[in-house]
Amino acid sequence: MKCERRLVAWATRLYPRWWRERYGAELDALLDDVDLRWRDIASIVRGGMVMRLTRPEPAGCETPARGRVARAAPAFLLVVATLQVGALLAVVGTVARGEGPAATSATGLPPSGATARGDLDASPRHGELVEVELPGSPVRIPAWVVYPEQARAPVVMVVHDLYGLSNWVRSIADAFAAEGFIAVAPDLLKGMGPGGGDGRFFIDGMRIVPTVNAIGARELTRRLEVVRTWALGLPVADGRVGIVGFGWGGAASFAYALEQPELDAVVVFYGAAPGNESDYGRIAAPVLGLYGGDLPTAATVSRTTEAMAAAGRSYEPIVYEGATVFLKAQEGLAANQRATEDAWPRTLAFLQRHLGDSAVPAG
Amino acid sequence: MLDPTLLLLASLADGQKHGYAMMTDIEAFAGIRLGAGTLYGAITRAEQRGLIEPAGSAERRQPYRLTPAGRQHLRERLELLGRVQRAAARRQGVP
Repeated sequence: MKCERRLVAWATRLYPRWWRERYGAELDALLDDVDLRWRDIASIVRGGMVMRLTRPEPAGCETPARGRVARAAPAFLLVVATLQVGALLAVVGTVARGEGPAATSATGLPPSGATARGDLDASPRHGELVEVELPGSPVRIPAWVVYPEQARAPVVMVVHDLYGLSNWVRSIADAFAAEGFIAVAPDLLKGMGPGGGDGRFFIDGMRIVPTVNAIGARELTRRLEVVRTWALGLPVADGRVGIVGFGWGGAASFAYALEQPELDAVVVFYGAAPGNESDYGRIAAPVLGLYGGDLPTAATVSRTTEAMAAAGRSYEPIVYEGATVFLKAQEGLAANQRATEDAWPRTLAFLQRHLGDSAVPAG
Repeated sequence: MLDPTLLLLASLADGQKHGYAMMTDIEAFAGIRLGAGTLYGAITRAEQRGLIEPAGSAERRQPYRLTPAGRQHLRERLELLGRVQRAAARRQGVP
């Protein structure tokens, strides 16, 4: 059901080229974050039209002369007006059919940042936000929990990236539940954003990094530990637990494996390995590392491979050439799409192998 | 409906923000949920007029901040709104 996302992608093409080159990526990022509503699509259609007809282009932009734009205006207005009515009817139609306002991921692929909202809306599974107490502290760690269909199942902890417990992370948790795991995604940044907000309220990556670093490795381990203990106490948990982390959360997951020998599997998506290589011998769980070749962490893989081998630990690294944050940003970069197509089934197989066979994919 | 540019400038008055942060902030302080296209239309015009500028970032989310001209413009607009509000209140018999 990619109708709505296609609609948005189509609508953004109404903006002139100079505008899309300057603002297109930012607008896409915003649309990934917002709870998409029909008025966003309508406002984009209107915005594209207005930007073409009324705004003088900035100096130095290769755009048609204004006269040409003006001559084309009546026809263009007619086309846009028609399309706008069509767009609104399409959206009203899909909402009326109860399909929600956003696109969903393709069959067999996990949600991307762009499809997360739609995938969550379309999910038949029960997900809920719980709060896990942190002993000796007033802090309560929120965690998004999604249950699979079978009575007993292994736990997969899903550790978010720098942007906190976003729709995307929740949708990834839902995708693990669809494969037969109890998915538990803690929000380790809750309350640490500006104004007490979550990770999405950080205005840029530069401010997030000092904040998340300020959590400290020991506190991070403590938080992950209470979440793991809580999850294992669920009546439906079968006793096995794996951890999957993305970016910063991937690094946190890898570091956690040093402290918790009872983890059964670790999957690191594009996150760095812990710096204390002499301690790698403490890692008990097998580690699957999946990296975008165009991200800085790819350059650390050979060193990590050597250190893990020297410590006699199981480490399977895969570097996807030309890829970046592939699972989250599948659209727009062919290398990311290819990486996702390989990494997702590989991740599921790895977890099923190490967390036992009680995980049963739905359907 | 208030001018989106004014909402945008007001949102940036206490520091830089990216699109999503502006949208949630404006919704919080004004109760107005701007459409994504409306917000980006306001961002485009304000940047062209030199009222705001991008703050450096390597992220997809691009934060913006007020320029001195933007701060001045916001002040003038608020003074105008204040005069309009006082005049209207007087004429309605509100002290």
